[in-house]
Amino acid sequence: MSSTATAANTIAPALIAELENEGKTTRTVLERVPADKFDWKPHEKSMTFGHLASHVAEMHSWTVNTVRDPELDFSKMDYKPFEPKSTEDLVAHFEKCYNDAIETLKNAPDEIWSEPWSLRNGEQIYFTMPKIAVIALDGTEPHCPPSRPAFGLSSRE
Amino acid sequence: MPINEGFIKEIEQESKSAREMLGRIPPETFDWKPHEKSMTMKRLAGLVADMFGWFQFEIDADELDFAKGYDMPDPKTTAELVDFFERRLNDGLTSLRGADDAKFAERWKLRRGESVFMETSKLEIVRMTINHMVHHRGQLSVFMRLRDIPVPPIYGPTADEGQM
Repeated sequence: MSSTATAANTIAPALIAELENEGKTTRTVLERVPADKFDWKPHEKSMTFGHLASHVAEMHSWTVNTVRDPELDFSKMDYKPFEPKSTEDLVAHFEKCYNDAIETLKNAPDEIWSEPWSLRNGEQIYFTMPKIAVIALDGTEPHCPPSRPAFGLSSRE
Repeated sequence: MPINEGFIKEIEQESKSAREMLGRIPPETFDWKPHEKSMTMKRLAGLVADMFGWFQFEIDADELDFAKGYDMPDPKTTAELVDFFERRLNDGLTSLRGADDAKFAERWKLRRGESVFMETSKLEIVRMTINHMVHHRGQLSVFMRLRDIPVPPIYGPTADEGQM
């Protein structure tokens, strides 16, 4: 990735490579979430295991919105969280969201990454950032359960 | 925009919630762990505090060799933990500020003596370290919840704080 590059599509391949790498771990973790533990939560204020796993499974679908639209407006959304019935359901939903994200990125030219993107609820704007900064947030997995195998340097522990 | 500038903005942004979280971890929870296979609170918090310092050896060196040893922090107080985080963040940002785009194309290795675990570009290892820190920060938020330490907003409201 060079800052002087003006060719059409140099940023997306790096994002795809990162998503593929992270996707392997996410898939492995989701495959291990048993359906009979979907209702479990470690603390009364916590999300349930099923809700958290669904959230992790669907986060890559945000990439589609980030690339395609200039904003996400909660007031215009009819959001229904995905409710898996089985581990297979959960993994299949992840695969769909993941594949949609990869396909979207494949067709994303460099110039879109400097366009602004906003998160809002009607009149209230929470933030406006360039799409490249938003995608960095989409790519992260802030709420992963501690059971997710740590990778890289933490493998020494 | 130069590559390092984007990283510096992202790291400064991600540092805000990490700083807020580390400042809430009382020393009486340092030896606690939620499962026999888990890290202790001190080890996990120390890891989160250390990780943005890794950019120093990722940028200024071409490898990390575990055979040469690696010291983990041993804070006694919350203030020591937060001070350590600030020092390591500053170490990492200092190295990133000095890195031009060509630096990120250089190769970097993780090894233990003869055994090489990973070889990648400096661009990839920096990105991976940000993801890796975010992973452990998420894990730390669960440890905090289990000990009834209020969890500050990270990417959005938590059950304790934040309105949207």
